[in-house]
Amino acid sequence: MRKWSLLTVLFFSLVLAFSINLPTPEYVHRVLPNGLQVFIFEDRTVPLVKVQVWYKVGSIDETEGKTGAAHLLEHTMFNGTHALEKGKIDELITSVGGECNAGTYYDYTVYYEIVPSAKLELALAIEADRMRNLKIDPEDFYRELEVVKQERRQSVENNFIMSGWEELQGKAFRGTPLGHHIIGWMEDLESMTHDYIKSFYEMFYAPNNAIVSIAGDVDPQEALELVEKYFGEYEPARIERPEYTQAKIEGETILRLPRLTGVALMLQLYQVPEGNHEDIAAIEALLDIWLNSESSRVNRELYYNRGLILACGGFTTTLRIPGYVLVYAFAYGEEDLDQIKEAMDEELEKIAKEGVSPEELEKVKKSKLKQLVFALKDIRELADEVVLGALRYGDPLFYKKYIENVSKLTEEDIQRVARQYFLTKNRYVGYVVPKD
Amino acid sequence: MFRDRFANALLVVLVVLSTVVSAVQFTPELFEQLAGAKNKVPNIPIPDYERYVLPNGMVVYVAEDKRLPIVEVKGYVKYGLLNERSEIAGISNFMLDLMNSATKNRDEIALAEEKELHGVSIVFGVKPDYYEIGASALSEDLEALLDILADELRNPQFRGDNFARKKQEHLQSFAHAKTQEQNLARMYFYRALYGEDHPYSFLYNYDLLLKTVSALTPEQVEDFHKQTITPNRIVLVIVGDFERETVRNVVERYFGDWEPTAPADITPPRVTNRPPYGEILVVDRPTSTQAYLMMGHDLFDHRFEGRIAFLMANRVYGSGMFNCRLMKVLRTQKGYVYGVSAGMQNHEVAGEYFITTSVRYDAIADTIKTVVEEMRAIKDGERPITEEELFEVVNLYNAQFPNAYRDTISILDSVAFNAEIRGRSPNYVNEFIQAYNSLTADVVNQVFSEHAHPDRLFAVIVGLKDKIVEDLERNGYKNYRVVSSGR
Repeated sequence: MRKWSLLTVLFFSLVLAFSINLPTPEYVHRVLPNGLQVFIFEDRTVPLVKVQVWYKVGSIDETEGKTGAAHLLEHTMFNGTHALEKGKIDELITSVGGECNAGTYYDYTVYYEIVPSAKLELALAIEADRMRNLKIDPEDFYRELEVVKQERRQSVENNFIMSGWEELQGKAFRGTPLGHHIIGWMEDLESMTHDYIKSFYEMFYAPNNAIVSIAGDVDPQEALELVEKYFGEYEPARIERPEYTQAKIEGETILRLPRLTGVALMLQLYQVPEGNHEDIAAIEALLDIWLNSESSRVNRELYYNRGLILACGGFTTTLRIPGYVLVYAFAYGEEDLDQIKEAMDEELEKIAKEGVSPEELEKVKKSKLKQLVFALKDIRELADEVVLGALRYGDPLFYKKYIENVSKLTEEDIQRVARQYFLTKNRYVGYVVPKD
Repeated sequence: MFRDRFANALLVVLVVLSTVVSAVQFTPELFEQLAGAKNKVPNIPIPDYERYVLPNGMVVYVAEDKRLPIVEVKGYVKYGLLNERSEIAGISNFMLDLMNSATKNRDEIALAEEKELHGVSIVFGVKPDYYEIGASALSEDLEALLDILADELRNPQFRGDNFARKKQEHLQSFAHAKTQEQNLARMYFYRALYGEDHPYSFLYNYDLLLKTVSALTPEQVEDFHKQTITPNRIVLVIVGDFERETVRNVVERYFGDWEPTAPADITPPRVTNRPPYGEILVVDRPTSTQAYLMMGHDLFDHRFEGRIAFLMANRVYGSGMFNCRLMKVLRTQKGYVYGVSAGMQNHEVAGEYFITTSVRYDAIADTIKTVVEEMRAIKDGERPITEEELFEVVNLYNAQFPNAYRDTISILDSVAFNAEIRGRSPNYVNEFIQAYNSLTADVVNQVFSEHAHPDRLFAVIVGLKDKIVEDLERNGYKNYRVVSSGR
């Protein structure tokens, strides 16, 4: 039997970043000869293990007219293999007291099982089998397609926020990988075929495009041997990704988006760099100071002082390609949206010109520190961050760099990103307003 | 370009390096061999904790957990919605929102800033039988956390500038809720289930809330606060990286001199309403591209001894997981729905049983029929729950239960909730585990058969009325009534 040389990586310590004593969890990282990456996080808290297989493919890897393919494939992955008939994956996992599911995002797709630790091998065997041996039966496929269309109606079409956001994003990023939401356009789903999904699967589901993550009550050595046993024989594939074109948003475009709603909602889309860009920490800090915190600049002016908004906020969608920031404000009515937009811009200008106070920056850092410490309650949460760093940027320690970036933030950084990414007003603005 | 060439070269290297490993033959037999396990009956270790009662009646549970430098608080204020009457429906949510936004010692902005500087989070929630408290901070901010929490509970500001603004916010949210599918369904469902006069229906009765909340005055809210937020109804659970003695001192400092302002107990109102068994209410919602369906009937309260057996039966019938009967038929076989689940709630004076799903218009009637037929198949013994199905549910619970109680706060919260709010043993979590493990399929079938009533299921369907009615009519359903979402 091959002797594994375990590369044990000490997890980052937050002592350096924030002067606080925290445990330093460890993990094992190994790359198989076929390119499959393996991460193992040992945690004996409960007798369970979470197995995840992350594929570096998501909705940004879809082509025009074929949107929704990554997500539809995720559904299809539960329809069985040559050895596992339809429904058998769920049946096997639930028979041992486990749970399984999956998720699709812009730049990855992830499958998971949470099973009693004695059943680690079962979970790994299932994932290995469906990595290369998926059976796409046309009848099952088109029935599942109906389920996905139903999911789209439920989660997007009948949700005023999601459907407004989808339309705005679709127009802002038209013709680029971010020009559609993950679930895809209904007309593309209507024309999707099982043959196309099969080719999509064969292109992207390969060991050199995947990461296996195991977190829980396991012996890392034994777990690695099982991964090698089930995935080791697969050969790497040549992955051909579409060209990731980038939208050029110049100037401001305002769209009026009537929906069935009792409140008005303003959305603003801005472009930001890839998720591992050093400016991301400053951009997120700016969003907290400008919008997110209870005592943010916009909350003070528009919520407490003028009573114009119900709530506001902003968040980044950070990916392995340039992403975006979505800024939002809920208002009482459409008639308030122009002045809300103007006032939000004024608050941003003040930040860009006058800067932020040391206290504002301190609050941001406190909030991030708390978030990090609480994340340590469950190793699986941290495991996801490590794996995502590896999958997106080839850097499992990316999260550590982000923490360091947050700890080093200065008031000037906040001013700079305010000017560079937001004050130019190169943006798409959506007014989601009550339908007549 | 260089990057592409590099990637191709790397690929070749990877192929060359690929080791020859004996190929695994994936067969049904392999998977059967790897599966098949009976999980150990778990035992949730109750942490070493201290329970004490302050002279004012406030109950405090404290446990140390020094694994991380954090402190977490859970809490309950007894009676929740049961405190309300129809003329002041909605006052609980409104009061708690105001409490969490300003106090007599800290105005809105000062309170928000202080919380942020200390990383203090506080949330309040309204439940049918109690108000919930949740709070957290790093352990270095323990004192600030309890100081601010005490100030919010004891000294809320109801006469500030925020009163009118918060009222406007609440009214706007009710008006908005009336445009949304699930909220509309809940409004009509709970109103029909509990009647318009019972507090259990108030939370989603937006028509009523629009009237009552708009009429609330600061004096009313102040008076309601005195009647409901009183230390002799409060239970606090505190867990974290501290010394117990330190916490005791801080708790006494911030809560010790708080005098009760109302009796510890009230007499909860009984439910006297008879739901519209067998009826279908169609709520017209323009623009819906599918229908939202909520079906259900009344159920027993939390004291009912067959509750755990019913819970297990319901997992087989409609847990929402892929292996439950409703999902197998409605999603896997028919492809009608993305998800469907059946749930139960057992409160202090009543309970409810409900099935919810979103479904395309041409499948509404067949979905209703399936929900009823699958329930009837168990009830009538045509396709009773098998020992294998029950084993699967029990096995799942045994495996996943420790996960739900992996941290000290979750366990101690369960101890306090069961002992103080539900009047059960502090070790109820382990008694519950033993109870579901001792069930047989016969018992589970018998309890489900006795308390699930397919003939009593009433339904609320939200969506385009014409399409809903068309499908109902085509399938012979005549017992429906149509209302517009604006009522």
